[in-house]
Amino acid sequence: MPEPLKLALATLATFIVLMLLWQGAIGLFAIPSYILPPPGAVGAALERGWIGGTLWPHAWFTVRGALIGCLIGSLLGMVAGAIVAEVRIASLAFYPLVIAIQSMPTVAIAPLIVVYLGVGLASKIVTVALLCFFPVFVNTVAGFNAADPRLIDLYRAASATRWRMFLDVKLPGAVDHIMASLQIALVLAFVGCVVSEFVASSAGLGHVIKTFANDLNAAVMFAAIASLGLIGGTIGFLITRAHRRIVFWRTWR
Amino acid sequence: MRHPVLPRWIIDRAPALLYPAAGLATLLLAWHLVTSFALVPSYLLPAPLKVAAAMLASASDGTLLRHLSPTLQATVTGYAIGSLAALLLAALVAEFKMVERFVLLHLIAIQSIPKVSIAPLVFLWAGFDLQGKVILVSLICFFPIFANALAGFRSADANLIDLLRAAGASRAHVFLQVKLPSAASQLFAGLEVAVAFALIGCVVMEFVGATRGMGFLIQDSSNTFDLPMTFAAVVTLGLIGVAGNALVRLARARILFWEQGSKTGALRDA
Repeated sequence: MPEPLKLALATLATFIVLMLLWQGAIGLFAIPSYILPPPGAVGAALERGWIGGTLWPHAWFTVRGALIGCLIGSLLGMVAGAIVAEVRIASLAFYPLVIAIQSMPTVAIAPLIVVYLGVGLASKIVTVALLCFFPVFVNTVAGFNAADPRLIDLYRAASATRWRMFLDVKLPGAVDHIMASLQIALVLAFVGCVVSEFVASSAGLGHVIKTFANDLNAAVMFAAIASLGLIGGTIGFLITRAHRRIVFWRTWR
Repeated sequence: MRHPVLPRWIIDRAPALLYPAAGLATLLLAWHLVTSFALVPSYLLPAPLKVAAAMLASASDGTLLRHLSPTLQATVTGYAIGSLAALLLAALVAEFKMVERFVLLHLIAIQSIPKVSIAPLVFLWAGFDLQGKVILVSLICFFPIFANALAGFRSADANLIDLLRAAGASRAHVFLQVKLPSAASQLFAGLEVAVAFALIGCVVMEFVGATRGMGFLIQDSSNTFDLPMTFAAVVTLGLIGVAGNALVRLARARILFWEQGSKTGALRDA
């Protein structure tokens, strides 16, 4: 049997066993549906949400918040990273600070941003942008520093301008790092958006999860959580594909 | 050349310490000037000295400690459980092809869910006391550590393993002598990333529902527009993140004594 087939069969087997255990546990231990809804109820909630359309506006809100915020934060991170990598004094003074910020729970600032900007989309975008800024910044700096020193020497020997060197050598050298950081930023984007929606929101999948927790309707919560995973996974997959397309010279496994 | 007064280690580290210190001072000064010239109203951005005062006041009247202790307790417990579980499962997946076939795709699928999104669900299951927080923290720590540990186990030198096998080494021996040491570097990279994740998990759980804890303090103080307190709490959490990270790096330097300078980059999957 070829390996992919084995993998598929084993995965399917685990899935079926999990579903049976899930369904069985509910019957056996009489678990109330507000704790653990039966798989069928989650399926029904997903159907109502996506085909009936009640989840669409919320998913759209979250996707907009995450993607717009991610775009803004990543662009700022790239620009700031490029500047810091090019200006030695800035690199010495600020790069270690940003590294330190990476070990801080940045999302803790979400309630503050909701106080500033209200419960609408703006507070989500800013929270997300803030979260996405740091990994992109750090990777951009690392990417620019990882440029091939021999190539730089060659350009310098040919008295290339700084700008030409930036475009021809440093930028292509940094693209791999930057694309990798976008992957991280995207994950953080959904984390930031959902957390901001938990704090206070007018819409969004995080808002759905929180309100239905108050209603003790776990089926809809499961449906919203699964939707988040599906959306995040799809966009992540697209970024990986883009990464492979853009950084075509790297040997991919 | 020896400096007449200052010891060697200070001279060596001076640039690495002085420049960031200057950068930090510049930022603080800019913040101070922005608030003292009232470019931003003080109810939106409190002055840095006010934040420091709020920090000192809450530290001396016990408010800070009252909120800090449940957060720290849950974070540390969850981190320990999550990293042990991740290490164990990564070892099983790396060691047994069968386990990999059965669980790997499921783990990848679960990985694409932002873990913080299940906070309200955990809240329903386990309440807002220690239990709920520990569950979310260990879950959120699990994935970065698992991904890094697995990559580490797989990076073991195949030739070395063959050599040991040929010499009749047992599976456990190969695992302990080759795979674990070669995974250690990457594993620690994952452990470093997970510190911030653990704090995020705990704080988010406290946002969702709590009556104590740093997340509660942040939300409560910002709802009552006590922004110096909010800033003080955010800064405290940040300092704890940095301290936790430093602890993990210290442990890494102690345990991985053979590792000099070159470090493995972490897979920062959330």
